[in-house]
Amino acid sequence: MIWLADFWATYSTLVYSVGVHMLLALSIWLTLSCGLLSLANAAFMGIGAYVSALLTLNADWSFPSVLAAGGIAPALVALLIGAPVLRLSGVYLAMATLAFGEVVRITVLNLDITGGPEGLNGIPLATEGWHIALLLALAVYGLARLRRSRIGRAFEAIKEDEVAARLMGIPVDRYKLLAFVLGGFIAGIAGALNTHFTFFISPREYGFEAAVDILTMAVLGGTGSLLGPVLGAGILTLLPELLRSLHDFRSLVNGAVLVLVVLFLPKGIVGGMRRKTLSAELSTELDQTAGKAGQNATREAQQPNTAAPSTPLLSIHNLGKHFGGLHVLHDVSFNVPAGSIYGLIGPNGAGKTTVFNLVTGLLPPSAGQIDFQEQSLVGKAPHAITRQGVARTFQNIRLFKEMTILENVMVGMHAHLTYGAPALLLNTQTFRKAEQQARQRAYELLTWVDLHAKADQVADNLSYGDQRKLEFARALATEPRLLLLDEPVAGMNPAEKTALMAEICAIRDRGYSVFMIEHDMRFVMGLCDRIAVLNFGRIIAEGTPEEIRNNPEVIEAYLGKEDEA
Amino acid sequence: MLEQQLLNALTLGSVYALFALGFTLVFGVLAVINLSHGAVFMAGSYAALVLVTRFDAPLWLALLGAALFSGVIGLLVDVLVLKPLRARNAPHLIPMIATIGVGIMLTSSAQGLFGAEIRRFPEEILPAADFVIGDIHVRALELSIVAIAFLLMAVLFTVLKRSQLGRALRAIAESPKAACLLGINVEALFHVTSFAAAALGGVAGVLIGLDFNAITPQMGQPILHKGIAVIILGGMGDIRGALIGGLFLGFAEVISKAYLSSQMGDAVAFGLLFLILLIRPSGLFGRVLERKA
Repeated sequence: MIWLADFWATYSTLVYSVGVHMLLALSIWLTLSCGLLSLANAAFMGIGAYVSALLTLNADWSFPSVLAAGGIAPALVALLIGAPVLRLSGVYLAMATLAFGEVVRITVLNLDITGGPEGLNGIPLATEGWHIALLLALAVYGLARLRRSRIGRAFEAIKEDEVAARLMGIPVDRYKLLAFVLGGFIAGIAGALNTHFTFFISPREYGFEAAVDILTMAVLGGTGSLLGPVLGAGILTLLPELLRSLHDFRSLVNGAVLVLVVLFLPKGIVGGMRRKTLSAELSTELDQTAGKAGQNATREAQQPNTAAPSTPLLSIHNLGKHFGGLHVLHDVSFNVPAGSIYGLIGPNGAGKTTVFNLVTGLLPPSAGQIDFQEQSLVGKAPHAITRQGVARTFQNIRLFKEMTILENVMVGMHAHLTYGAPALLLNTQTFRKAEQQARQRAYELLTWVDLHAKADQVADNLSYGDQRKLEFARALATEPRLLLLDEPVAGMNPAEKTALMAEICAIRDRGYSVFMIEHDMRFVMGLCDRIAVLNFGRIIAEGTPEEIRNNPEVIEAYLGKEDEA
Repeated sequence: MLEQQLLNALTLGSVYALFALGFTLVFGVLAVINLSHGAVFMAGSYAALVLVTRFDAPLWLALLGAALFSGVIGLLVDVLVLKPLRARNAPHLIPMIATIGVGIMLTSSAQGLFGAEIRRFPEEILPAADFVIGDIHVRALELSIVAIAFLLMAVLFTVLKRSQLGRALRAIAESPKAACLLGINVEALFHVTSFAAAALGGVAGVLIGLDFNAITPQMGQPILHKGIAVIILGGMGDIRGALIGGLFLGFAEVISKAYLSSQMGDAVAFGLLFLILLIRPSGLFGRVLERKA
């Protein structure tokens, strides 16, 4: 066993570094899984390293408390800068976080307490192999649990389509902040562990190169699974050691591996291993129960429709919207009665989708009032409006394309899954039951729109008509009282249209209300109880289909004036 | 004293601007943050050094050779790495990471070929003339650097503003898809842009190498950070912004080194950048251009 001792003496630091890098790669995996391209983790690691080292050297704190402080300090910084920084997206976020990293590095370089450019020396050795192993195991376990929960689904949904995620009732800003802060926490712990076996800190270790290295590890391994970043960190840390004999050329191989992986393994080394949401036995079980439940897939609307028909569910009053000098809506007023199917029609560019965007909170109105169940929706965030019972579909379908069909529907249930972090981490009865019920219900909804056989496929693979149906099922999953449909039958064939018509009638009969934009006149006239006509941002007519059909102003808007021809 | 500092600042700033121009051009046209631009800059420097020391080339020829050498590297990166990534529509993070790999390969090749130590141009090839105007000590070298940098920038501006090529490039910057539908050979122009941007970077490398008379394999790294700073400041993809941003950073650096502690100056600069990004993500001069492709 002497060789083992020798090996350990020579390579223990290397093994420790591998562990620390794995933690760092996981920290950036977390923010990437939420679609955030943040390069702040090297700086967070640096903050964790310095805070913990200073507490060890100057305050004589115990190692566990030092570790905790090393994680909490950067998490607090992340919390502080998160709100402004996370408004940025894509490349701008990457650049802002890099600039933040430079600010941190240069500040550390100039403070006396951090030892300036020389850094800190003589930090006592406290980190042991099992500390790193334990924390790494905890991180992997925690992230794996997170991934299988409503939080993990919310992260993925945000990454796929932020706007759609908001309208599924997900408070997007809060979740982004959560990912950012948690990533900072893990990176800080990694930093604290690192300094307590390397004896010294130098500000150089936490700059631009480190930030880029961390990102590289995660992407090299593949961000599609947790194994990816862990493996990527291992490879990138060990490769230069294995190539020692190449001397100055050894990083050449590093660079080449990176380029080749990016070129030939688009999903990283581990690739796109997709977790199965639906095991075979679960699938049969769901099929059996769905057989019975299929018919009542759409529940009764939560509050049965007892209000007098005269009380409107949605009331729009003097609504106006302008973008700069461009007036899109003027003085628009109409009421959507409870329990009805209401249609909004009008020529292209009349402002119909803008009405939907105002009702769902994606845009603030310039003037007027929007009341839903006698409560104002103006100024409310989209996710809050969804939680009040308004759901919508989009004209240009916005699904979470890389998620499975079942997961898409389950994202819609986000607001109704209320288990907390402890339940999720400990995999408690509550958690399992809630997830099981959500899966069951999602499956029922899919059975209803006849997509259950494809539940485990990625949404992107669906045909156009099926994508529309899925979006419909996903909107219903939020348990709305009012369903906004933006051109629901666009691109559908006549058979599909007839089927959808029946489905819409069925959900109206169950107490839901439907408010739709549609161009297909036969569909609108055959289905709607009342119709409003919008032209150049004004309501020019409102009434029953019969009244609209015979209204001269409507005919003029659609066909032009007779004497003009 | 101040005048002397201003001259130094102008020299440094014009090289930063030249470097950042290539960087921002690639971002504007290809929508890629090319993190190998620093290494390409370094490669230009070594190319000139080899031409001067091995082949006794005069300085102008060395500059030309460096531009060509760096340009070809840029072209190869585009053809071999970025083009396949475009073809499979990789998210913008991916080409950036690929260029990190390219940068590592170039830096490590230079280190393997020339060693990590500082290399210098032979003193005798540098323009030796000095002028004294009032209190300012002007080196002919500094004047040539400023002149070359501004000449190249003027050429680039004229091409972009006035020529058919420039119009095509600006169209691509707005939307490659639309440009393609208008019959513009987008792929060919991506290659041209990559070549030109890298050539400018290579020339900037030679100029910095001459100014400090020091060439190392790592010399691309600090200027890459500055290039990022400049294009944030000027607005990403904004040509005019890169020029103004580069000059501004040169001045900020020289002045803060002269009148503040050298390091704290950088902290102020990056702190400012961070703030600019929060308040105006599109930079001081840029417009918010969300590409819809």
